[in-house]
Amino acid sequence: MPSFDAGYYQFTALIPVLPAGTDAKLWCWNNWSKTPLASLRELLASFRSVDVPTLAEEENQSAGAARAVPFSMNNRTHFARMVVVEDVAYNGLQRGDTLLDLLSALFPGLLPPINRESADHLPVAYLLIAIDFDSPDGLRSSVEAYLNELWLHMEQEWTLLLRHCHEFQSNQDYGRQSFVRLLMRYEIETTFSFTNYNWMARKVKRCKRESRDHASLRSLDQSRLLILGILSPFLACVIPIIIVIIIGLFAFRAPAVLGLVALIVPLMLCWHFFLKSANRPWPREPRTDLKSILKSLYLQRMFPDFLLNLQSSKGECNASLRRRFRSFLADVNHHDSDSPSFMPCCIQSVQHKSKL
Amino acid sequence: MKPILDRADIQGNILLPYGRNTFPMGRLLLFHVANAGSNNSGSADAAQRFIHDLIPQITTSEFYKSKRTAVFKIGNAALRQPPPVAINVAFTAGGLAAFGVPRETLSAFPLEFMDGMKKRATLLHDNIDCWDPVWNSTEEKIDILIILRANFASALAKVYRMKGLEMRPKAGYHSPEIFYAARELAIARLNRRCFSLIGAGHNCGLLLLEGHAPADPHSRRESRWQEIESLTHTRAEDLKPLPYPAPTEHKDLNEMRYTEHEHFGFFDGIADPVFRGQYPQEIEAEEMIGQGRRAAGAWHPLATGEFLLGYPDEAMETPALPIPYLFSKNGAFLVVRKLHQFVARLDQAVHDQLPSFQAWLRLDDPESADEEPALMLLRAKMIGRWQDGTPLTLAPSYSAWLKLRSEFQQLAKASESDEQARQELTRLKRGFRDVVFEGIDSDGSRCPITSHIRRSNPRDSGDPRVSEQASLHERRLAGSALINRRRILRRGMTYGERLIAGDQGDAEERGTMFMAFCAGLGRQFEFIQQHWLNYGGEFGSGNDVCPVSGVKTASDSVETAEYGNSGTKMVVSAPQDGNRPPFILKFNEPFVECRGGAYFFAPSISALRLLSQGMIDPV
Repeated sequence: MPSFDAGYYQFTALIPVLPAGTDAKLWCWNNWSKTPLASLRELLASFRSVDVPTLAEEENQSAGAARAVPFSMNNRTHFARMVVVEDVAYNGLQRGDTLLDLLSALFPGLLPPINRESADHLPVAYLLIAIDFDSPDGLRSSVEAYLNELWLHMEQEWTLLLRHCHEFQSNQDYGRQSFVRLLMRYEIETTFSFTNYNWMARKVKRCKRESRDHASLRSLDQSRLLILGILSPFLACVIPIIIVIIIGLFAFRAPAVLGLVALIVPLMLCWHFFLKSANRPWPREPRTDLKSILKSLYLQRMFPDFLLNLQSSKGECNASLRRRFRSFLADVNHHDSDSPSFMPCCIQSVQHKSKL
Repeated sequence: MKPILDRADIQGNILLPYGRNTFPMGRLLLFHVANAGSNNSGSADAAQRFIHDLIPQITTSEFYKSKRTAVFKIGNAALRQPPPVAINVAFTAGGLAAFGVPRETLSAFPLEFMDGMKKRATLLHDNIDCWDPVWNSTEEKIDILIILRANFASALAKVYRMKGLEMRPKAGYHSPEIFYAARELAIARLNRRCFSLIGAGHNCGLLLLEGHAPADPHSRRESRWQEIESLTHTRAEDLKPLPYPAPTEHKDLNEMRYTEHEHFGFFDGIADPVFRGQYPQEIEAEEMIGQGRRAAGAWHPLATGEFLLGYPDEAMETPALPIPYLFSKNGAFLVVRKLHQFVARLDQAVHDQLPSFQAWLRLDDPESADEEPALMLLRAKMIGRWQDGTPLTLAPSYSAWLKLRSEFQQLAKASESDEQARQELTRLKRGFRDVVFEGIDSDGSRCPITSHIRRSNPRDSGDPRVSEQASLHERRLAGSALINRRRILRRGMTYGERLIAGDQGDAEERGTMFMAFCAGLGRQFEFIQQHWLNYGGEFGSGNDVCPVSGVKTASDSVETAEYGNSGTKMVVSAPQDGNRPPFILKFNEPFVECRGGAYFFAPSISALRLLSQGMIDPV
């Protein structure tokens, strides 16, 4: 299914940005008047994407509301990127064709003139929004539910952003509906996901069985697709021929239309079936939703410390080993993917800009 | 097609290293071309005169009469004796400009070279506040590097001759009296050449840059140049940890030699890349095993263009070069880094973790957990080799290592008379460099995946064609595709004196003068430093760095209230069939600190001639 695969919805939307000079007051949010594009870019650059202090005075503050990252409030968002797409890149003049050139030289007026200097342009600039998030089923209703969630967490940011776009009503009562409607309307299909956790701890025995089941499921799907791909064109040709022969034999005067229908209908059915199978999304890899991923990173971070403590203590008997592991498990609360865990948008190894 | 290299055009130490027994000591002199920026064209002329006079003194890559050429049967009696002092020269980007190299030629040099190492310090995780003043100066920048290496072997021969004794092999042991006399003689020769070069430079407007040690007026350290010298070992030290043979068997345990060990106590510089044209063909076939390019279970020499400019590289193309072609061909980039080693800190950190390591070893094999074997094994696990260079893949346990050592000694003795033993010894020696990991040690239970040698040269591990479920046969066919374009010719030397127990710790100047030649600074040296040594992503170990030579950035190792000091960790995996969990080492501070460095270009003799004539014409 386009835009939905392996448990992630790859939401992509291209929203047209207002042309320059529409309403100069809209983008005067810091007293300088500018074009909507410039204002939009400035606004996007001001959003924080990772929770690290960027200013010297933030060093001493504790993390939290003071320097919140907009998307960190949502715990389903794996990836989010917003970019202004101003125009397509110009790739140079259209290539000439020596044969066509020769023909048009030999027989002037035979071929329509080719405008080699024409270049493609976008009619307006777009705001590209690409978000990967956990979605249980990929249905439209659940996408809407997610967008509602986003509005709840980032109302202010979205209002500021979408003021630059067509059809957005920042009016208090309609803001949410307008936001969801706008994003759904300009959504485009995509088959490319930014999020991919194609990794399984194969060496852990408990996981092994699960992964094998999973693999067999996949190979089954693949082989089915392959068989369908080979069979359907074959069937599409053979079945109508058989039908036409039968009709020809038993009802000699059957109209030719019937034969045509008999040719087209199975072909369409096969094609439909083929597309439907191909569009079926892969099942979700176990425990690859954002919460579990963050929790597993947290466990990965804490476990070596536990092991280090264990290594340095001498003469541990099995019972005390078990006790300590139990207390470690209680501390990290491994069944609970909510807490303790890492926060979204909190990356430890990112350099503090203020120190550079 | 096999390129035939013009060895007389290529500077020495590039194709093959100067032997660490023949040339065990040397000096690095750094010069600045005075008034190069002014319109006074006389200064460039004078500096060009200096190079003109220097060219005939430069040591090239030609073969000299040596043990190596005798064994390889290269050339004939016409080979020259090695020079008493080998001299080589290299330029920074600023230096080339000061010598009047046109901007059009300079602009074709790679960005890393034009930037210089100091500008790229963040990328290399260097803290330039720790750099020695000479490397860090903002006023008088480094333009030329001259490296001198003194010939110890000829000094030894002279001393033996003067004493009327029979010359012993230079790499063998010598009595301390003779050893020190020869060292004095070699240093006197070095001094003579050194002062004559400084004088000549002075006359041609070349300023000798000082400040090779931390600024300290009370220190008596030499700050006019950087001394480099191999460490010495006595026979007794080399015999450790073998139980001594009866003393009568060996004449004197106090006899000494220059050794290839570095300050942490490990044998260094074993595997060196082998590329086309480096050796005569018949020798290449032997040398490329373990050191060349591995594909489909066989060894081939690497492409020449990986190390020398002007030849096709492993991408099967000749990269764009600064023009004129003659100026860049046969040249190579030289990385120089002064790496201070915290020997006492490493010893302390290893001792701190030793009890828990012993406890860990005891889980499987109570006998290997004695203090000495455990200490040796722990240190070996960090490097990937035992202290004498034996790879852990060859001898995974202390007892296996001792067995191999005694076998080696017996063979060495037997090979003096027996041809079969000699062949056996050659095979054993080859095993030191012919290290592959896939199939033998895919899981790192012998040589940990994040040990120093596996990080700096992962060899065949990580071949993308070998999947996790690959069979043993598939693993044995693993190739070196991932690393073919990440090799460097290491030419490092130690500096400073050895740490003796009870010494005042790491305050003394001591470390490795890292020197390496390559054709692409960013693709080869910087990649290894940045991705393999200072990051763990490719080895599945997050942002943990190399346990020995890795450095985390200031913010990486910052202490947080929530998660404590992150330091760096290293996982020592246990065999899969045993009942031990992996062992985790943790180090809070780095053991190596860069104290300065720069990127140089070591031009060919023809290029130097162009430079000395001011005839570099990019048209």
